[in-house]
Amino acid sequence: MSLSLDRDESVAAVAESVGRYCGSLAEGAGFAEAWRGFAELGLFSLPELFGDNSHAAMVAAMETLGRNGFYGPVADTLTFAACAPADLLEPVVAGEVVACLGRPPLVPWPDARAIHVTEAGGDAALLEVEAAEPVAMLSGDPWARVRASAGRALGPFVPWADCYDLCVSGWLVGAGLDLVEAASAHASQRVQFGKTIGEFQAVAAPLARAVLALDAAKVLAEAAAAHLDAGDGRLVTAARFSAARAAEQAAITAHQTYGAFGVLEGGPVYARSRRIRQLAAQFPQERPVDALAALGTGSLGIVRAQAEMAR
Amino acid sequence: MNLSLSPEDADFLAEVQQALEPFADTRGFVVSNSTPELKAFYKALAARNWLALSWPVSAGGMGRSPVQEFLLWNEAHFRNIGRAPQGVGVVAKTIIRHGTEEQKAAWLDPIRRHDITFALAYSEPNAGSDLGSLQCKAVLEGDRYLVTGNKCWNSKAHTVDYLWLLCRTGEASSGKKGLTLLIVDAKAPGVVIRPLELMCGNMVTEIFFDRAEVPVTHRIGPENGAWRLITEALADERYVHFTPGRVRYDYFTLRRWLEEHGRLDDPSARRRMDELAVLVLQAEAHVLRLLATPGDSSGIAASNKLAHVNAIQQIARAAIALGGIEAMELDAPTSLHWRQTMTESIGGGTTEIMESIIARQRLGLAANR
Repeated sequence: MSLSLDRDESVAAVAESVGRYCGSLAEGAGFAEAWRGFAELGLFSLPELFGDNSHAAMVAAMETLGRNGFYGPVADTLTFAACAPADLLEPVVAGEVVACLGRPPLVPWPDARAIHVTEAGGDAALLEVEAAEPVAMLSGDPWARVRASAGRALGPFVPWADCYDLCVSGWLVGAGLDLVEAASAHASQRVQFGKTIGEFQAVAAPLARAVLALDAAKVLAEAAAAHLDAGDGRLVTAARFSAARAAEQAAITAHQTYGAFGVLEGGPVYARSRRIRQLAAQFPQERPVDALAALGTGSLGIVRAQAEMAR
Repeated sequence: MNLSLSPEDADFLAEVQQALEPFADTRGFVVSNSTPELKAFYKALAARNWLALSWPVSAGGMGRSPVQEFLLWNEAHFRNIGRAPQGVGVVAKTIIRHGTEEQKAAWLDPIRRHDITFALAYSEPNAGSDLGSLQCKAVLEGDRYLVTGNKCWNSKAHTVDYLWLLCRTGEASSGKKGLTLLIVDAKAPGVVIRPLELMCGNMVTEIFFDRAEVPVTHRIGPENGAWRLITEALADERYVHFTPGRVRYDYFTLRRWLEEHGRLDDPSARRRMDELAVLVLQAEAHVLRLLATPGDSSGIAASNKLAHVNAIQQIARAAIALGGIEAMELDAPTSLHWRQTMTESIGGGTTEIMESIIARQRLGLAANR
């Protein structure tokens, strides 16, 4: 079997069905309705359906959501579905409540019915919120300043962080690719000085560099997921770092390519760029890349790791 | 998605690693390819027929996959040995695709045995990225061409036996449609080659042709039909020449140097090295895209080259930034990498040209060159 970057058939089917559902959502559809629809689609059942191979499916789903501009704590909820004990899963998988990762005092999605998970002493733990005051954040999502304490321990936090990092990587890659491709389409239409602005190297080159970084980030996210599915999480932090930087570069390039359109509150870029920016800072933040673990010592890293595990 | 090497490829990689071990640190990236060590390396590969690894069996090759060819040269780069000689890639693969049976019989065996060597002679003083405007002219007189004009920036042409010459046989205004490929004896009367030293110590050349005679039998492909031949060959060469093995070598060399000089204790230096490791992985990601994409993949080839160059230049610049004054010693790997990597964004297609290819092919932009 030769090297291949194509998604497995079942993983591709997940991306396709999520994309189809996103396309079917009516303009202005409410969050609750969309969320229930994703649950009915089986999005939050992916960890159960795919078992040990669920990370690749989750990354594919998240990339599709990023491409389609869907926001909300999907990465958190998928992570919860993959890592939480079975007795807590039912309402989350059914789409009745969202699950969020957060570190007080600022936590996302302060819905009374949301389940919040934090990290305490290296373990994941349920967060018991005693009081919450809504706060407007850069991302535009509902957040709150809370008084809360760690409750029931849910096991080591590392698997949660790994899963979340991969899900977020997928979303960032999808959001970044959509921004760059849309900005490129704009650059192919917008005429200044008698020609389309995409004909100017000063416009085209940044877009080329942005997609260069995103194409690599996509391979890294999917490879890191494939490795984690096989029990090796060494590429995860590198994948998130790569996706975060690539998406940020894409957002800045898109703002600039669209010119004044690109900085409108309701314009084609801001809704995604504000979330891309905040994801780098919100909990769980990027972990340092462990270079030596990620690279290994041989002449290849992405391929080598899998080959090693196969033995 | 399959990121595992097949058992055959894994076995081949193990064989390559063993075979290449004696040649580690031949330093082919920064020395002339006329050194005895580098020649010995090529001869050792030739003895295993690995210089013709991916050629068809019918052409004297081993018929192996692009993946195995990549594994061989990636390993050579990771061990700081050197790049593939030009003859076995661009030259031989073009002869295999477009040469006559007589030409295949005449050239392929000595190339795969490394008995003869080639340098590309494409660029000119006024035609670097824009090869379609080159002026070096060949005029057919009887059974020979007479070549007159200048070439420039040709890597290591002063050390080789033959030049792979791109020249104009059409009208001056014929652009890409008036170009022809000729094999020229580098020591023929009328050919003068002068080396030009680069800032890294490596050599390029300028070449002067004054009615140099070339037999018509040394023309590869049709007269005025060279453009398609050279563009398909350039895409061939990018997964062989721009590998993540080289990027890894540079990364680990810098890391060792920083450790030895006590500079990796600084948290900001460690963080920068961790971030550079991601560029190493990104370079590998792009070469995997290239290997996994059959057919016309010149856009991905451009991405691979760009990611490769970006990574090695960022590593080299970090070396200067993190290394302090000791990093400036002329022969220190830090200084040498900084000097050598500056040349990488020029040779093999400039960064600006690569970006334009990506803009056109990946994003559908009508970007000018």
